[in-house]
Amino acid sequence: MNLAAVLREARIVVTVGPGGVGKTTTAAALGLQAACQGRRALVLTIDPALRLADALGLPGLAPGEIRELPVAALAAAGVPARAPLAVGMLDAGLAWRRVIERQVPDPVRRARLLGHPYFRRMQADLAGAREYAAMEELHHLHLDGGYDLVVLDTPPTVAGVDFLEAPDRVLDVLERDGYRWLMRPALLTGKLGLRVLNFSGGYVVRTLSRFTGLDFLRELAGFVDLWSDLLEGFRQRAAAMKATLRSGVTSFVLVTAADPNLAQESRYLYRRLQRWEVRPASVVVNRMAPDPGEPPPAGWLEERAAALVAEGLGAAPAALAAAREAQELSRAMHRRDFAQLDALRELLDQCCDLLPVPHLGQEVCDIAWLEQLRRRLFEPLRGGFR
Amino acid sequence: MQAPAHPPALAPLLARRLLALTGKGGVGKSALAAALGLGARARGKRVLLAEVRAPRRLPALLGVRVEDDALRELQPGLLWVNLQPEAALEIYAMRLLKLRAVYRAVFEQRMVQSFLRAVPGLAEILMLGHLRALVDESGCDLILLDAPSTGPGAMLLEAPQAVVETAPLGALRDGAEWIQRLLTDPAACAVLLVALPEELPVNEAIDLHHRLRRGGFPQGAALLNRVLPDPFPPGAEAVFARLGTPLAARDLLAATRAYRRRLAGQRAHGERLRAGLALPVVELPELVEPAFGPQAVQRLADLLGPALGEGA
Repeated sequence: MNLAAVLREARIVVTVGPGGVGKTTTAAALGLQAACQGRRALVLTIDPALRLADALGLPGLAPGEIRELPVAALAAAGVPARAPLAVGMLDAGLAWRRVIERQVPDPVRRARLLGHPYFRRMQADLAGAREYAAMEELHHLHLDGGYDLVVLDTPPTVAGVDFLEAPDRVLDVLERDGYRWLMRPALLTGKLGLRVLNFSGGYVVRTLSRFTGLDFLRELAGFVDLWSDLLEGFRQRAAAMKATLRSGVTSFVLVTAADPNLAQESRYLYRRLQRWEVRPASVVVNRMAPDPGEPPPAGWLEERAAALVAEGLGAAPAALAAAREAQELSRAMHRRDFAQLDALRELLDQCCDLLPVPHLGQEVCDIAWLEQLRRRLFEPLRGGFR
Repeated sequence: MQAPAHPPALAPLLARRLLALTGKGGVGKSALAAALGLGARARGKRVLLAEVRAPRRLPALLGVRVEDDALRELQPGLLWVNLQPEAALEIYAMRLLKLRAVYRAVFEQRMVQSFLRAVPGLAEILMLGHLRALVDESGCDLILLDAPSTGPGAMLLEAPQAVVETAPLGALRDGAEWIQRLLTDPAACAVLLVALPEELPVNEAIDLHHRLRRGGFPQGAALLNRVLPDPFPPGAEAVFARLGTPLAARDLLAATRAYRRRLAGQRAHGERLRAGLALPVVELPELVEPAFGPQAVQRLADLLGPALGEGA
């Protein structure tokens, strides 16, 4: 399926890729394309860096806020949009609070959980918690957000795939009863302490406590006890999410650049996706150096340089030599990038269409530039390589 | 490139025990970590390159095949490890437990492993704990940490402080304090910010600079990578203006315009970086290498020479 068809049909599109390849801006351009097809799309980023706001020229976009760009605003920037485009950045803390508010009906327990020091730390950006929260938020917005399409931009490489595995990991923990094993006595007695821990785990808990400190285990167990209200719902949603991400509703787009530094990383990501029984619908290869065209006929530069020197422009020989150098350097970069494209195709087992996108010459910093990127992606004849 | 008149900005940093490179994804942190490793080794240091849950980029960049993540000597005087939470857990737990049988009985239970994996931030603490132990025990003078990109990189460095603030007294908190003392010691540790002369990498470097400063992490320098060479003499603009738009040079002039536009953009972003950071900035040029391997890394190391100072 080509990328335009993916954006007409998918309900969730997940962009994955190494860092620094324009993954977030590509996700935004995919959302823009959906808007041009008349679908209500939300572009959601979970990257801790504030790239989406940068790319859209929305400096005031706060984490956790979802802002809608109306059709008129998109049209003013030259986008032939037929639906508005919503954009939002995930705020892990806020997402966690929303989960708690949706899932814990008892206000007393809810307040204790929200006020627990471990919870406060967890929502304050400890690595790992973000992925869980993102999964919840994506699921919620997919089901209840009223969007035709949610485009999710994941953090670079390893963390990005961690996100995909978050439902698996949560299920793994729950299904293997790791938590329940630690918690069960607490759930039975309603209180938790050294005595209970000793009964439950005995030798194992004592050894663990030498590792973490007993107080740490006790606090964690207290936290887990509070958290237990969420577990069953979590299990159901994690299973549902896993099914959704693997179903035809969801498409994956691998975004990379023709940079030899990134080829192995792209392959690694592709393999991780494969292990996950998912194949990217498309591979977008960003920032390809454009073809600098033909050099002038032999002798032309020297002739012109001499003529310009005669007119009093002493810098002409050096300036024209520099122009030649710039064109040749550009050609070398163009060749390098296309050689890399071929190498990348091999590394990805010829799995899918590679979509080369020429370098825009500047970074996307507002909607008009984003539209340039969208055209290069979806109207290759107008925005292609010369 | 660093003008010869400048003092060697990176030379004093070679005396520290740990240098951590971070910056936006794709700016060349790994290649620069490898190049700095070669440069430091050429100046008599025994060097350890450390990656964090990475697809083993550094051995590939140095042209060495590895089959696992364990600590090894890639080349004489140049060691490497890929930090993984599982391996770090074993090392860390063994220090406390002493007996392998006890470790096996407890930590190799799937139940316990699942439990530990679900504790947010624990993976970061374990990997940094492993790194901290290597500072004392690897026999290396200098550890170069190829840290994750901006957000995750900052979160990694901030993890010990998070544990110090939240965990009750105990071995875990002691370990976090032990790591934190190293990371905040300006005599022993420095962060190097890596950026490209582009909008977002510079924004992220500046944000990161302030975030790390708030966290009390000493910062050594910024590395501005992939700067395009500027071959144009003063007065070039007037020459091109007079040239007009001859058909024979249509492509040449279009390519020149595009190139000069990129140069101007790069220059502006470079200035922004210099203005936004209270750090020396070391520039590295764009290398047009067909395949970025050991030769390119060696070239980068050579280009870093002036900034690293003499002694090679």
